[in-house]
Amino acid sequence: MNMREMNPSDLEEYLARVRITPSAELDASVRNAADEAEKMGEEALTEPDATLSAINRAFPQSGAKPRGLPRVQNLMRTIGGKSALAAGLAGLVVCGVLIWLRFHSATGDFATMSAFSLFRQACAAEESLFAREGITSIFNEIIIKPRTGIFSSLPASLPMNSLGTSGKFVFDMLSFPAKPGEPCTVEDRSWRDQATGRFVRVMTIGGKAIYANAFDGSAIYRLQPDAAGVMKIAEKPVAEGFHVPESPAELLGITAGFAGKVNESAEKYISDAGPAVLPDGSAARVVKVTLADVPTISAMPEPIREMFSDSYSLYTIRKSDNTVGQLEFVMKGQSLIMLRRMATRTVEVPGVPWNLSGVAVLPPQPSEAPPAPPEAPQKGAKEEFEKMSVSDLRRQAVAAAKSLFAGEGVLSLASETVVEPVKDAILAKGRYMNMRSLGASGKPEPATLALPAKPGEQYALESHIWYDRKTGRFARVVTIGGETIFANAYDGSAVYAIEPDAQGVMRVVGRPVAPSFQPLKDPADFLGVTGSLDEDRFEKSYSDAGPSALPDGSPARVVKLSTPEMPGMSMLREVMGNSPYKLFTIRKSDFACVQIENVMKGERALVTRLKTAETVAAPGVPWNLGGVKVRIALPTTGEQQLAGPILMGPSASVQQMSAVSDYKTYLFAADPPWTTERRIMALRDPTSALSWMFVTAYRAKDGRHVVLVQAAMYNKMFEQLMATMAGPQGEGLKKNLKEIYASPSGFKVWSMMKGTGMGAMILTAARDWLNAEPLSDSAGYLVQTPAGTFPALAVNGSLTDDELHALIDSLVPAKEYLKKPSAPAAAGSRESSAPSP
Amino acid sequence: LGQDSKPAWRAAFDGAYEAHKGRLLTLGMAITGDRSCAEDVVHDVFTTLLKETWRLGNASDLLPFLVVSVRNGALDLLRRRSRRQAREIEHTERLASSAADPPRLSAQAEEMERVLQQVSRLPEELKETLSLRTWGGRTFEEIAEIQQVTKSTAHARFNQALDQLRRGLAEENRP
Repeated sequence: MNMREMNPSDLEEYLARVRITPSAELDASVRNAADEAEKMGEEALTEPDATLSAINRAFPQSGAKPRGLPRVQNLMRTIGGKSALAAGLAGLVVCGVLIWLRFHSATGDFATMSAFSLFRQACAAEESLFAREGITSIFNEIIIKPRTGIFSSLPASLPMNSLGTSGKFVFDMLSFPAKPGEPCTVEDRSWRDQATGRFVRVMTIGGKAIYANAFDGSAIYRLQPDAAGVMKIAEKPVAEGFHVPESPAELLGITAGFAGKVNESAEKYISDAGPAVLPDGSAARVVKVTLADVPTISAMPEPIREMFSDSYSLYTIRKSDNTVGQLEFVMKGQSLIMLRRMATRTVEVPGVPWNLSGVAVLPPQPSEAPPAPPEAPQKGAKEEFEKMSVSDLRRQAVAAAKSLFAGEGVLSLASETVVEPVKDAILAKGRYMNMRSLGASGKPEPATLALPAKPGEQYALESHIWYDRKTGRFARVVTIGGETIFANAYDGSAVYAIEPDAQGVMRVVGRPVAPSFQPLKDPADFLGVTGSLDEDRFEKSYSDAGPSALPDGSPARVVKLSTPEMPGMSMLREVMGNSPYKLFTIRKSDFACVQIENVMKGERALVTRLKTAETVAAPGVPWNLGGVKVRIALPTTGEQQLAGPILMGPSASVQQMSAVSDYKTYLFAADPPWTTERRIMALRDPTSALSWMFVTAYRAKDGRHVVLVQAAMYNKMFEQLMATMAGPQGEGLKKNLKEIYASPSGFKVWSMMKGTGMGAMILTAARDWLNAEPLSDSAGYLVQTPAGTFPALAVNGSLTDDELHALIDSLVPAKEYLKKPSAPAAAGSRESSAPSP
Repeated sequence: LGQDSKPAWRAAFDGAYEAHKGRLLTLGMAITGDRSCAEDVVHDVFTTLLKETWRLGNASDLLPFLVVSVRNGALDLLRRRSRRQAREIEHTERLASSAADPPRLSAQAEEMERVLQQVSRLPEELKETLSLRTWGGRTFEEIAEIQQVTKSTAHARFNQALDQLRRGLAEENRP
């Protein structure tokens, strides 16, 4: 061949034909390696993406829950508080992500091996730390970084797997006492005895514990709030059948969540982030684990996808032993938390007793401390009123509100809330007030006071609060046209609230308080007289909106609270518009917050005005709400045609659920036989144009509480998921989301991998009412109804096939359910007799 | 019968090796300029594949994985060994190889090896572009992604590589 005469295209053609034939040695060597692998039973892999059962094999009996994914849950929870919405979203996300993440082992050269293989090795190395004989001691440093932008108003927190008395992991949300703009360092120390499974883990700040969990061979110890809310080490003996976790790394490791094996599909989301040097000078590589493009997430509606943009974890893996030396969490481009592995070694005795004795607990930080005794507005401050900073003005107003509740006698507060005429139809229909009802346990129970109206329509609610400063008794009633639509009271021995009876008729129900019940610690906060004027975490979102004059001519100033831009805000824009805000009018004479104005989509949506604040001899209604006239109008023709407010919760009725829902709702024709009580909780779903989300919870005798969540958002998302499954991208999903039952009446049940936290997250929606900690490996199911809706079902434990089938077979539409009992009462009102608790 | 008794993954593995070994070895050699080094790299890649046989289930992703693995392995080998070391090894191995396997390569095979050695002398980015395009079967778009450059740069590098290679081969053939 004459190379000199060869033009580029000839050369290109020639090169393409160039093939080197492998030597016989290479062929033999590769064949031998394959023979060896075959002898060793390398099975892989023929079913790479296998099934849910493969996941169970990957997490055998460990009750393991992915830790990286609860971080996502954390974000969801942060956005949505404890709402079912957030819980459900998080559960869904966990499920989806889990479908794509699983591990196997691998080997290779550190510098050249793929990020995926390296990450898997790091996970294996972490697990092997705990396989050493003796007591393994691990010391991590957790650095909470200063949070800015959207995160400045969110708490720094980490989801934790703690060991419960059954040997299963329970979900703990650890909040760090870190101010947004300041860093905070936490020491995280663990010891584990390989021979006995005993362990102790303590996280401390300045030597004081903020988190602790231990097992001493016979009991579980956890740092948790007691009945009075004081953090204490609680000791509980282990339950029958207790077994120590099979994967200690899942409980104590830096790679928790990845202690099993990761799905090959995860390779797309595990990438190389380059070489690095750890603080001790050792060479390392950084592996990036990103969730944003996980197919299950990318199949979701835009607002959810948006929350995961630019969010990832960076694992810095040490060259010398493939262990993770550092882990950094980045959300929306901001580095929030960094864990550094400072030391691992084998010791003779743990640094902290197995039973946590002698561990000092960090006292509540100022922001969490009980409220300071109310102070009257300071004299002389009035002169500075006009010049006072927004921050000082706000604090004076909050102090003034608190001071109302101090002293003696009965405080009487009267206010009016006007549902203003608005043009926007969604806003007109969707306005609501979040209410809180004090439950018998002393915990607040959420309720929603929906305030639907037609565009241009206006009506007003009257609100009265009476509070006995000496005894803590209180009564709160919200009325319209003289009829009570919301009420909550405490008479010294029982709490009272308006709830529907079996026929859906609203009436006052009294319940004796639990032994652990304590009267309101911060009545001004609970009764909500200052709205959100006292939210220190939103400090930067308050601004001066200028001077004002009240109708009587008295001077005032207005403080504006803009809605902080938080992850997930785009979900709410359909309802709230781009820049919803609140205006607080503060009166100069006494710093009273006399008006709160909610502005959404550029329209005044709700305005609350303080009418009177005075001390009276006796409350306007009995402390037990006896004699209040309860409005019992039942929604019967769909929400669009409703006029006036509707109280949904703390316990909603089947009639309400059936009437207000814009999709077909279901419930069990008969309560599950192992359960004792049912409660339907209703929440507004801001992601679905304020459709209603229903959490139907059944309290169980044996702890196997049942929760069924129904929401338009679920219907939309799971419908998309099903569509994805049916398409070319759905192979992985198809193999992992298995149809496990089809009922004779047309329901299908899809399993939601046990051990993924999906069930736990669904249960979280009803956690307070159930008064139970969701187990990490609770069973979770997706139900496809004949109507094409997708309720999510969870059980705090496990079900036999027969139990599951019986449950599904008993599902009936809410409307059919209502045909069985006697028909609900007609609209009207009735006077409550003094209810006996 | 023997074939039938093999697990499915093994049959897929053997098929993949037979189908791609020549292309991968050529790619490895184009980058390293050293046949034995290239064989080492290819061996390592297939050994890794034995631990990740799930990859065999996705035919469309398999070849890109193998190509990128060989490319990474070859480049890493080069970085770890100085050229002098590589030459020493080559020399030693050639001696050993000659002693153990006296038959000579065919003239055509010799020429191909010579061309590949010439390729291996190109600047790294040109050599890589040419190799990935020619023996890796990668598109310019994919090469651009691998090299973190624009598509037009990848294209320009390919043309430059061809040009330099042509001149290098011509120079070598000059009497």
